[in-house]
Amino acid sequence: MTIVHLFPLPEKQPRVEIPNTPEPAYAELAVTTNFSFLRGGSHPEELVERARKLRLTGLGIADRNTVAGVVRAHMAAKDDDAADGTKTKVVPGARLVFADGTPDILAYPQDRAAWGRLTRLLTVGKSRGDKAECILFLDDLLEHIGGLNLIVMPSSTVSAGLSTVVPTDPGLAPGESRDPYPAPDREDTESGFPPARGRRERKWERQKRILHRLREAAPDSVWLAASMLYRGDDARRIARLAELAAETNLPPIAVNDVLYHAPERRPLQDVLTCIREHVTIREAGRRLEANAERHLKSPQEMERLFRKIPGAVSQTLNFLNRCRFSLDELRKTEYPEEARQGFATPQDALAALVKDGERRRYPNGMQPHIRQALDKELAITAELKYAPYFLTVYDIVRFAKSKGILCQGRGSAANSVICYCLGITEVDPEKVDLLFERFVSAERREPPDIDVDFEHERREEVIQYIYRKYGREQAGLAATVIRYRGRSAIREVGKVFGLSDDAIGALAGTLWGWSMAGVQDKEARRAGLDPSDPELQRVMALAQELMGFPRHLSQHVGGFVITRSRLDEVVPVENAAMDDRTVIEWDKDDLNDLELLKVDVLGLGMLSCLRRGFDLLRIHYNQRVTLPFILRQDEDDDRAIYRMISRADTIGVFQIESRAQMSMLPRLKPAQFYDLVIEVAIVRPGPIQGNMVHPYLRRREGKEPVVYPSQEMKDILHKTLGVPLFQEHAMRIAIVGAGFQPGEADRLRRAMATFKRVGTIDRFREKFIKGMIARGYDEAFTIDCWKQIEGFGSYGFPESHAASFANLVYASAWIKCRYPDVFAAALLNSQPMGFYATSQIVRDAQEHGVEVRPADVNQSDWDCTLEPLSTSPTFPLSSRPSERSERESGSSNHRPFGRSQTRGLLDPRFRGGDDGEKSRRSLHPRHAGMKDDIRTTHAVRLGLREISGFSENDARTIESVRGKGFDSVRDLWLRTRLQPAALEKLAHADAFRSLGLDRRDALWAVQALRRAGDKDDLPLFAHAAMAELEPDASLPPMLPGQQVVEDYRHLHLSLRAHPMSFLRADLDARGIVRHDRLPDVPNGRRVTIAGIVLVRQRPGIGNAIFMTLEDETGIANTILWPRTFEKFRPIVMGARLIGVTGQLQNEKGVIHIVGDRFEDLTPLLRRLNDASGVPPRSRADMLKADSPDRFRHPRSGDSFVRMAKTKPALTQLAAAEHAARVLPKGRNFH
Amino acid sequence: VQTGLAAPDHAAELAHLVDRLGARFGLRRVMRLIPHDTHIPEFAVTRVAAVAGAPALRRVIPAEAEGREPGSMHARKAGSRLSPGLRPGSAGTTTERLEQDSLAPIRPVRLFEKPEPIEATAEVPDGPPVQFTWRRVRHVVARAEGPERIAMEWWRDERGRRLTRDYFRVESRDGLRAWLYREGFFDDRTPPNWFMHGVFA
Repeated sequence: MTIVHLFPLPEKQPRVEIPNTPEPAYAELAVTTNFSFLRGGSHPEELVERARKLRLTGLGIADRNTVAGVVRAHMAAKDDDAADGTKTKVVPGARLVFADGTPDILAYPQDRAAWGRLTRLLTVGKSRGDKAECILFLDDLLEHIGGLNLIVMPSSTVSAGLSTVVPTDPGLAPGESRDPYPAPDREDTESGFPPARGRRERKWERQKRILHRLREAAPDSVWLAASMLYRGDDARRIARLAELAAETNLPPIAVNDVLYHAPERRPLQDVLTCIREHVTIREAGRRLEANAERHLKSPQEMERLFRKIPGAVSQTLNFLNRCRFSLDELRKTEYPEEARQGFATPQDALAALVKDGERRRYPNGMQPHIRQALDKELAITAELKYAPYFLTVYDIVRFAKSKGILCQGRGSAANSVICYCLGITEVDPEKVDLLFERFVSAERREPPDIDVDFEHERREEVIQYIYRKYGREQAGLAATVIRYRGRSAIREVGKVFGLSDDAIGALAGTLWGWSMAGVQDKEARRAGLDPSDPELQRVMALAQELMGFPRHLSQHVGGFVITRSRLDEVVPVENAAMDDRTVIEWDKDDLNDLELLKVDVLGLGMLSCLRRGFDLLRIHYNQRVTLPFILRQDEDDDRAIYRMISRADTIGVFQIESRAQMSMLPRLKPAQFYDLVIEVAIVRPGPIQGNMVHPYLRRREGKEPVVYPSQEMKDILHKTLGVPLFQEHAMRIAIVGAGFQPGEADRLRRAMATFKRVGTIDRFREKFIKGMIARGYDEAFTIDCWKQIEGFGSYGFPESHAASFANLVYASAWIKCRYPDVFAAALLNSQPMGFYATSQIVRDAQEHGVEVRPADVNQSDWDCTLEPLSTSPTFPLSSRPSERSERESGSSNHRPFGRSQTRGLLDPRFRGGDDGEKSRRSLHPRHAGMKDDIRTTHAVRLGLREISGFSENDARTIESVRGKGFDSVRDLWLRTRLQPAALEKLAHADAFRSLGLDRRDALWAVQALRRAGDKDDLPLFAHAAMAELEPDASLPPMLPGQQVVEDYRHLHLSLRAHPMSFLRADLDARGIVRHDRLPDVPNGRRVTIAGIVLVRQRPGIGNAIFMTLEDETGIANTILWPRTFEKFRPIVMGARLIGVTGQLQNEKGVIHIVGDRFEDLTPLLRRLNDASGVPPRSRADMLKADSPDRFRHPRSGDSFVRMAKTKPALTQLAAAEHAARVLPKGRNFH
Repeated sequence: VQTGLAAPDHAAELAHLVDRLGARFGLRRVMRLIPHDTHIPEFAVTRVAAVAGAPALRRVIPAEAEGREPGSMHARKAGSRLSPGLRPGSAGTTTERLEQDSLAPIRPVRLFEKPEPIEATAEVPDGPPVQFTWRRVRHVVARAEGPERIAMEWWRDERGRRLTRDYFRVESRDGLRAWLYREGFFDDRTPPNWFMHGVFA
């Protein structure tokens, strides 16, 4: 047997005695945060906080081949207002993990230049790997080694997965033979024999060679890490390390290779390891750490642990002193100056451009106070040298405008006179009175912030322009940190604990989308799980802890960082998943903290919609409409538009179309532009949770006196009647009311937004409340303000953004009000966007007197188009639609509708008396007041895009070869060469009406093509012979119910009738009230209504749930309180046709049913087919529970996608027994 | 018995052996030991019926656990009071130059199925015992190494009662080489207990 060598006992010491002579000092330099994804078990903020508590002198953040977490740590350290004045210096670095067997090396830059080398080194590694991979070799480090302080970790202790990439042996000088056992430390675990001695020997030698090479390349800058592993052999290991240190002449340095801030995180860290290794906790075995020692330890403890290596602990201070680089130095990074265009300085260029713009914007000269503001803005811009930034944004906007891309800036800096003059924004400073100092003031040193929204379909052009102009060396996209949310956290932790997919699904499914709130006990119980089960409790607790952890970096939607010097010397850059994109490692908050300016190049669906609207107006109404044109409308426009908005007639209008917004509108009654600004911002969790909405409404309605707690509050809040509504308010109150430093206030907001569990929040809270009360504010107001700040954390809305959005609200409302036909067509062509599905947009247009014509092969393009109204404004759907000639002859008629004609439209004949006859259109009585406001003279022709599964290419083919039209299905087939499957889709969608073929006839004809269309079937001959080959079959006509079902199946909407109309008799028998009768029901009465669920919305957390129902007469809104919702959850979430009983509330014409009983009426929909005489094929099928994925986050058109996939056209006719499935299941929103 | 120059068919021979032992003692009593991947020493080996055949060994090579041996296979008759330890051989070769942390934690040749409580005195907070009393015999420690700190598997530990262990290898003046551990820390509410978990050869 072998001999056991044991170390002699230490000299006998009389118990304990922690030497307290000079206070020990220590800096932990090997810290892995949770930005080493699935490795680190603590947030950077937690680590910094803990380090400060332990009185560590310094903390070195070194994540695996990344610097993604350093800014957070840096900022956390700056928040330092610990009462005892202890400071922990946080130094940024990275842990370099190599692909060639080189041990991990911690690299800390000594100065700015070395930082640049480090980031370039990481950029090189990232350019080799796929996304999120970084492949580094020792040679890369040697190339970038200048100015870096290095700590060699003698062997990987933060486990690398199983790295198998072993391209070259770095320890070998060129020419030497390769190590025969290059794989890192792999020992044969099966044989049970000790590894070959020789192999270890070679590894040892190799490691030494690496150390020598490093030392030669960076003399005096390499340290050798010593850590206590508690594996029983620490003493021996340390002795050997000392030997190695002596041999290589490198000083040993103490580290604890920290994975989490406190030992309590061990379970979570184990879970992360399991997630990473795809094993359950029971299988994980020794992949997990053996103990909980890898947390931050106090200097005393480190001193004690390392008593055998004198100097190793104090060496950390030495090291720390040599890391002189601070992230603050990056603040001097400048924007490129290209845009100065021949002027001496960017500031001169800016001044000149502003002058130009001024002449355009203020042809009659500026008001003195605007002039004053402008001068002030220019002065501040000059002082802070922001001119290049403005010029860069200006340049981007100019490019977009030159290409006809609609765009608008927003953000604090955007709403300035400068940006107004430069044309970056359309927010008139005069109208909104947003003063510039709010965005930048010299002493706050806050960077200006401009987001530019572009048409979402053309944003890519802008992005490519930026890359073209600045190159990848200077421009990159900001990152977005994707974090674990409730659902993903539960899923992952559940898997680690080996819960069945069902159980995980049940747990996760009970969450509403992205909630960060975690699974509640109640929900678990409802999912059939026992929340008192200890294992389940553990899962839930760990999932809770995991929530908010970063899981990977993704690209920000459009935040560009553009620098004058190399971007990769500021921050590592990697290739994004999307081609031609490069992404940096920091997200927008990090950039903001470092005052690195970024331009947000964002896509906005509404801008695409508006541009389409403008195009249609130009073509069909000969109106040259632009954004500024609309915004400079006269009072008449204003009145009409605000009247419409105040009636909550806002389906499709930007921002204010949601249910929650709509219920606010009639109470708020916007009457001027600033009211829209408020409206946009008020229905947000911030004001709602902050209890600000109702006080504001009461004050506005004059039910409550407008009082200000103090003069300084009046200055801040006078525009919102003393109620803080905007994010700026909250920040200003923190500064003015609670005495926060401006930077502090901003960090407070961010601390709320990103990371809630850290103790800093409590500190802020205390400071805020104390500060407010000390300044004499009453406690209720103080608490409300604090709540508002908390609310803003998750979804803040700043006034500066609201102002720009309000522009688009106004513009979209203008089109909707004046030209509902244009609006509907533009909106339909921009789908998917917004809250409402096609069918609601169409219905809304119809209610506004717009004639909507069905998609047809002879009339429709891919997009929805406008057609001049024929002499008869309505035509029965069963007859042939208007002739082409008619369409063409009418196209020159731009004469607005005369009043008499509008009256004609309102012919009482067409008022929706007959439920079955929805094909007749007129202004719905609800909108009767708009009859003089609407200028529509066109009908909307649905595009082929509305047909499920029909491809754009096919549609374009039809458009291009149509010529004077198709005269038969066969003609169409021969000329377009479309696949029969595509023709079938057209037939299903009933798009051959102009040929006199209804759905069945058309399908018959398409089927005939299939049979007749053999390859030897000569077109010419076949064409002639067609009639004989396929005699017209006299098919039984489809019944209305079936037609409607088929319409829904293939078009997602029906122009014929609402499915509910076929059920009305039944519903009447049940005492269910039609939606159009609701206004006549007295307030407070209990009623029962029923309808198809269009939208479910739950704004914020724990608030009311809004549900919008539709029947054949209109829309009705129900509110559920959370308790009711909990009770009826499966019905509310699952039913497509639902019955709601509850009290009716009529508040100024806004009607809500406060539901307290819910009934799933979905099975009734079966009768759509019963009515048409086709017996349902399998009733059991109908009643079958819906699949659990109905709980998942909705995507637009969800149900139809599934429909289309799960229900291929089995038999063409009458396969309609699943009528219920055909109908939309409602969209869910937050 | 070597039956020829061809490589012996170990598997067949083993199966044969299992059959014979099974015929004699009852198949249920013939067990084989298989390694189980865990940090907890007493669970690192599990017994399965030999006739169940050798389950495929999962090859687990976490980088963290480089070089640790999960143990070897032994076919043993059931009923032996002391279970065999893991890989007795590796302890000795410490004079070898080993890489810093690739050294496998050392396990005793005989691991007691139930750790036996002992009395011990040791340096606070994590020093090795200076002396200990095992089976009523007092031993003075001459040499010691440790601690190897093993935290219990929290996910099996419903009430959070199971304490972290610090293992020490000690050699007494009389030449007893033992594997001891302290359960819990000195600053826990109750003073820690000491146990003897195995002996080295």
